[in-house]
Amino acid sequence: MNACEVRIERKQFGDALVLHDVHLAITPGSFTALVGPSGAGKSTLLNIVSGLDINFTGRLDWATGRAGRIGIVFQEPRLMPWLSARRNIELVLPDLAAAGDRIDHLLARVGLAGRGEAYPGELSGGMQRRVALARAMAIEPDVLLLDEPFSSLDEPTAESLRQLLVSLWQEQENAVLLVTHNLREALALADRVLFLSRDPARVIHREELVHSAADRGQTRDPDALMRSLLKRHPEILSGIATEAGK
Amino acid sequence: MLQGSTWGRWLFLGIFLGGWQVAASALQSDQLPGPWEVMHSLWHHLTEGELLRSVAVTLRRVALAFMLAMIAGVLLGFFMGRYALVDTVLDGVLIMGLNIPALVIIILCYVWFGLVETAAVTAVAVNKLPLVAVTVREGVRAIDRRLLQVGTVFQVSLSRRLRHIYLPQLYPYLMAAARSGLSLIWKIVLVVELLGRSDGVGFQLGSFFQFFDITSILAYTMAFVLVIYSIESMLLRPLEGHLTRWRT
Repeated sequence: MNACEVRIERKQFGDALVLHDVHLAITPGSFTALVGPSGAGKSTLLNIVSGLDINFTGRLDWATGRAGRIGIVFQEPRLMPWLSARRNIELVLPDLAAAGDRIDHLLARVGLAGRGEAYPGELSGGMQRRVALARAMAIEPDVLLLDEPFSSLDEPTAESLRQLLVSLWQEQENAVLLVTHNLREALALADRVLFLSRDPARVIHREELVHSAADRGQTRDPDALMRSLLKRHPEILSGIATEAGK
Repeated sequence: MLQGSTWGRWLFLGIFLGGWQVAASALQSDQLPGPWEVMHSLWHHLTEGELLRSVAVTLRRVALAFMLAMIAGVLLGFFMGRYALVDTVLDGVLIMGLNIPALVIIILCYVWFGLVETAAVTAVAVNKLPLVAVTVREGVRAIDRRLLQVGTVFQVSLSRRLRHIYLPQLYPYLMAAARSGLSLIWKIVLVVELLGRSDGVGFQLGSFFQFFDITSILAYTMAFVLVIYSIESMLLRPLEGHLTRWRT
């Protein structure tokens, strides 16, 4: 597994400074969440890490010297509508012969055994996201990027997908970088939550969460974590890191 | 549904032939022979005349010009849609090509290349090419960048990206270009033959015109229409159904 060190000194769109001094270490097995108000450059940061946006001042250093494999789940599933679920996953696998029954295994893991031949248009929104997640995990990525992947789903569907994400991640031990505006989601899943400010975005607070593997989604109480955090930093969600009482 | 639409097609054919027969009987004129007479003539040309050979010669020209125009038009349209610079440079030429009368291109091709097969095929292809380029350019501009980003992040190979991400988005535009291009070709190829070839359907029609042989002209037209319907139902429609089978 490849680790990645992200150092963004400046990222500008025209004259507007969007990201300023954002440092981020993405190590194997870590689960980092990025939380910030909308328009805080969270997606821009993901685009830089994913290599889609190379137009910034700073560096992206991979531990092994060559770029790692990146799996991504976008806000929308972004499946090819003309390819079946299975073919959508096959599309991103560099070596199909070596994949063996991995696709079947993954489809079963995401609860879509037997639905591999269905086109995305025949699947529900939640199922399409499962395929998108399976696609990202199929390449056994060094880094898994998630751009608000559960934001437009109803809560029970989102919750079941979160559980699925955690169990898949525990199997593969990839580094996960989750962008979300849902603080509860971030606190429930991640072991490190970074809070971003707006105009330009910089990291204003790091919340390290002590956890054990079994803790996530089970004994951990995201609501209590949220209450305690908001007590300490009442304005953190609007991108301001004032300490309470100061 | 399907049976209903097939039935509707036959109903239309019946009304068309019936109306034609009524008009022909009422007018009693050499200039409008009835459908029965035309079918008789069609049979005659088919069994004893040049019809099969003429249609074959014309179809060969159509096929060649069609392929040439599609290949060149798709390449041109692709680069114009993809690169703004290419678009700026060639846009003027394209607008000119779209609007120059077919006859001018035909005459210029015959003058420059001589009254040869190459000139005929080139003239037809050049007339169709701008239409293909414009349609494909629209298609390339409409390509969903968000799907391309999937290919980029997952490092999908270029050939797979072309086949599974680019081309499927272009298929509707390619089909539209093929359809409209084919109809344009039918209209132009006969004029090309009339002006500079000594075989093919266009040449035959020219000879019938000199004798005011309306029956034979209509018989050839009927044969032509049959060919067009066959291509549509046996080639274009099944192909389209295959390419859009994922639509539910």
